[in-house]
Amino acid sequence: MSLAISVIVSGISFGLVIGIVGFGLVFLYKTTGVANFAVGNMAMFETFIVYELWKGGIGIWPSVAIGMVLGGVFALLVYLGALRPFDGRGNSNLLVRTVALYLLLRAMADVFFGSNQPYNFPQLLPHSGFSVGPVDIAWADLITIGIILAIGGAFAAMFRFTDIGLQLTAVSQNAPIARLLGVRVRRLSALAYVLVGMVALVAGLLVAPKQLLSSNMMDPLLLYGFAAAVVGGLTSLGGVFVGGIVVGVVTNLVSTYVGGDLALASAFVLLLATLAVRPHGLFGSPSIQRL
Amino acid sequence: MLAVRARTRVTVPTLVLLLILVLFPLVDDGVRMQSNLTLAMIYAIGAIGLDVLAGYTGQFSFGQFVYFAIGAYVMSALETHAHLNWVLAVVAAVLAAGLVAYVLGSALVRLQHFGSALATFFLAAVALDVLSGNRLARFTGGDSGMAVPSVSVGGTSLMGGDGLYYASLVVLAAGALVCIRYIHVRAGVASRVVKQNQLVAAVLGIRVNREKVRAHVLAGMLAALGGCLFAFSLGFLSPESFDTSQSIDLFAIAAVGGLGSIAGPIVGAAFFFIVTDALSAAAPSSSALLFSIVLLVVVVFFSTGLFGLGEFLWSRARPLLPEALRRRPASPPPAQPRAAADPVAAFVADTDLGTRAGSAGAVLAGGEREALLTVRDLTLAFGGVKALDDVQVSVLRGDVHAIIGPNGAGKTSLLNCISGIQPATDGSVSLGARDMAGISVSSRRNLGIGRTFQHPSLVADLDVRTNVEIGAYDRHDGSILPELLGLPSRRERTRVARRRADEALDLIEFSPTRRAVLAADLTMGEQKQVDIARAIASRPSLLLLDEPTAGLGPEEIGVVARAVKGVREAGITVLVIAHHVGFVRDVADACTVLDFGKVLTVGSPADVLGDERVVEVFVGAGARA
Amino acid sequence: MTGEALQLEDLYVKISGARIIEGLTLHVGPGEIVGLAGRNGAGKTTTLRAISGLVGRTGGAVRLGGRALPAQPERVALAGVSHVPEGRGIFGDLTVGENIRLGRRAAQADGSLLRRLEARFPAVERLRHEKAGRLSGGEQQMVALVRGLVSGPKILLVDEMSLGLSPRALTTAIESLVEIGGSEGIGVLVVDQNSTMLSTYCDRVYLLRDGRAEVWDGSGAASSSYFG
Repeated sequence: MSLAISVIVSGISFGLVIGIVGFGLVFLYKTTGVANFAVGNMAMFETFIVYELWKGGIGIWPSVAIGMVLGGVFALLVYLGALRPFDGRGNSNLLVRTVALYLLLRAMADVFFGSNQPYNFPQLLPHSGFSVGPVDIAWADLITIGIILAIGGAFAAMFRFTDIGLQLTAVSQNAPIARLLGVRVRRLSALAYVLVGMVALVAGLLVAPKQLLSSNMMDPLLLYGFAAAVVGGLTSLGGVFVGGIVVGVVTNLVSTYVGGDLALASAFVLLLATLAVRPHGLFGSPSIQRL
Repeated sequence: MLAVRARTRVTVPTLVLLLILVLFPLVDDGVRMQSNLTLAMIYAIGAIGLDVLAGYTGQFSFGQFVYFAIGAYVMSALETHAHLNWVLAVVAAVLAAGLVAYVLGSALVRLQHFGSALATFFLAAVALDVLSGNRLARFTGGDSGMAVPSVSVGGTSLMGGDGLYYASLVVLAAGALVCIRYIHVRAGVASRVVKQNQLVAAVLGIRVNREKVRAHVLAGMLAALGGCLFAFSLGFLSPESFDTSQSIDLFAIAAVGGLGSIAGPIVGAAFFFIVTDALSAAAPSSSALLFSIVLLVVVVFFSTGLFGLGEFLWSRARPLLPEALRRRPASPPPAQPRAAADPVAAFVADTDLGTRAGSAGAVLAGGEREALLTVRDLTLAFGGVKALDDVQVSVLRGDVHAIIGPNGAGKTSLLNCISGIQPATDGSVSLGARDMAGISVSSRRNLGIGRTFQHPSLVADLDVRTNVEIGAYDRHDGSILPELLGLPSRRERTRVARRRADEALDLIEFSPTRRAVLAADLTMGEQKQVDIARAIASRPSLLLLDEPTAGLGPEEIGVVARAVKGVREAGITVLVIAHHVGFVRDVADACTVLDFGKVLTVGSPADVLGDERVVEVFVGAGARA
Repeated sequence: MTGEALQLEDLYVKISGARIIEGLTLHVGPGEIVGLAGRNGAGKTTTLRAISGLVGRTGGAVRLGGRALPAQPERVALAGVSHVPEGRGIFGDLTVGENIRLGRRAAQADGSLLRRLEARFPAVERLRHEKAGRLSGGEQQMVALVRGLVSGPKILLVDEMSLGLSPRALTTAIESLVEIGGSEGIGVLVVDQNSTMLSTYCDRVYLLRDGRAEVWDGSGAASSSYFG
């Protein structure tokens, strides 16, 4: 029983990491109309940048700080270079571009960061933990939860209190009307990419120390993130975290009690079941069924 | 969709490519080039199936390599464990893939492109995990893999070299011919209507989901065939050969080559393997980098792919060629003798196959004037807003009945309720004695309700005649195999549809010289005409027209009015939404006025249009201070 | 506030092969209220969409105060042309206050204009914290008008103002518009099927036929032009 509780707690912490990847997907989907298949690999590539900085000998935390800035710039370049040109070609064209980016970023990582992958990434969070009764709880999990809640809270505040947040909401609900009101949609798309670039790095930094740093490190996370987005309702920025926790806990339980090879399959089943039973997810609006 | 035009005339370029592949070994007999081209052909077999799925049916799959895996593993496992003859094993593997595609396709058809892209992408990753795990290891060898039993034909090994090269070529040629056949038969054309607009497809009686699943099955079976050959080329199967990026590469091959062309994906595959090989000699990982850059450049700047580039260059080069080599522009087919005869009689006479044909004849024989369409107490509410409020409409058989009213009065909502697109909140719709409650859009069409839309949604990359022909089928049913094989019964059905399409076009007086023109090149007036012809080609008893005059000039309105009169003369009852009062006066026998979702008045056009209240609704009196 | 005139010169618009607007010329001066009438499908909405750049123009020019307006909605809006679209374009999930905040741009937001508008449309002030989707059609139209005016535009475009409005609500809306347009020096172009309303309130009414606009004298020719 205590094992189950530990599995659930670490599932929640993993679920929030999933949630943050899913958040990037949903945020871009709402503001630019296209969920970016390359979000996971953007995170991976940015994590490599931090790794290279650290290897350059400037210490891990300064590397992370510089990486945050570079992550935003990197994501902006991705937007300007691949998504902005001829952006009137329709959403499926843009979708294929993101898949091309997915391939490109992985190939770039393989070319630039060498073939000795995977690498050991320095630990950022403490190893220790504590016990509450029979249950072991790791500090790392709690800190992870804290970081992600802080990010979620910051975004919620931006949407609620700032003009930019209001404009982002308007664009996600009806871009042509927002444009009629003078909202510069492309600038907001660029901003959304910068923000997602930084959020993606957080996800990468949370994942890399637990696993090893490699060019396919984020592939499962991307898929779990998509599942979380669908479960939470593709248009709900809060719901995606709940979706992430559902996916995280379920996949953690499945890999502990059934087998790791079925973890991804269980997330897939969750995704299909959601689409079959409740296509707008737990928190999405039923009127928007763009899947 | 992927902003690509699907092409119908792809046979010649495809045959040219296949011919080049036949002759190539005579020019270059290098082992390396041969193995590159072999792999290219194997991938191309999957890529052309993907083209049918994405380029012609408008569905995405980022997991198509799963079917390669199914083909490869099922074949090898059956040979190894069940000691099955290799030919039977291949057949079984392809059938297994078809079955999986049927099940998955049925689940995916409800999703739009993003959903199906996502689900298939996911599927590829799940399949890889399952292959690597222990659950199927008894059959597949799990992570450690399994050997592919050797296969040879008449002493020539198919496991590589010339044997595999020509085997792949034969399979690719056969697959390409099946795909080309598919896009020409009814099912393939119907798929293109589905790609263009699913709602319109349903209104034309096309079973949307069925056509989509069919494309999935075809694509899956082709990919499985490719998978069997892929297994030969590998000699040993292990999960990493079926990595998720393979699926993405396959899609990329089709997109770089050019979707909607069948020949394009073959070029894309050759390009992929030749470029990859040339670069991997320089630096092993840079080939993937270069190819992904090429893909991105193609998708961003040149979304028609290499095939589109080829078309462009050909269009530039053609004027420079000697006369003999130039293909003449499509001239109208010579046989147009019937146009001069009585089009109404021809149209009416050709209704013997239709189950609902009787209705047309009955009216011409001077049958009694009973109501064909009865709308009772119809209410349609969105939240608190009532788009339709207790609407009563009765359309007499043989009449042209106009619905007029200001913007937002609920006219299109009424048509949507009648054709089944929008379920009513309350009230009933009956055609003749039959209550339409619970009957789907395509079934209502099969019972005799045809309709057009305010914005005609013709398939832009099909010509006029084909657009109308697809509306001329009584039923969009039956197995695909007889169609692909061209069995006499299916040929007859197509012949009838073609004839009826021409009769419908004759009836509405559509110019015979414009019938081979692509719908994309029509004027708005012509599009509206073709839309009407498409809706009446199956001889409905009731035709619903949504704003056939909107956006047309006076002359074009006259043409549409003549078309509506022709339709009436052929015995089809018409319910038409119109704003142009002159048009209503000209064509309508009766007129219902809607305002704020309610029926304001009903009567003859002269009475209704003379009514003071109606004039106020149209011209406006609300702000009379 | 110095107003600027909106000038359409020989405008052509084509949508998917259909020639909708063919050589349309019209003029809206500062403080003027101008109507554009015509039957459904005549191209009234398309004209407004072409002005604000929601649809591309195939020929001719759109000028504001002599300068050409680019065919990009956000730049047209920032240049001082507000467009209240057909169906009003209210963000139903946002509050009335947030809807209006979207219309108000930092550069012009001195607040005094907003206060004058709120005095003119007291309901909008009262409903500030309501979700806009819950409002009645008439109230939504008020919100849309305030949102269009709060940036202090030079020109206001209003599409199908009468759509779904009761006669009383329509009268209130159009009278407010006439008064504010006059006092703030804002040129207003109103598109509507209701030509009686237009001829009652507008300084000038154009009739859109066959893709061109001609000045309509408001005489009894109304029904023949509609019914012709």
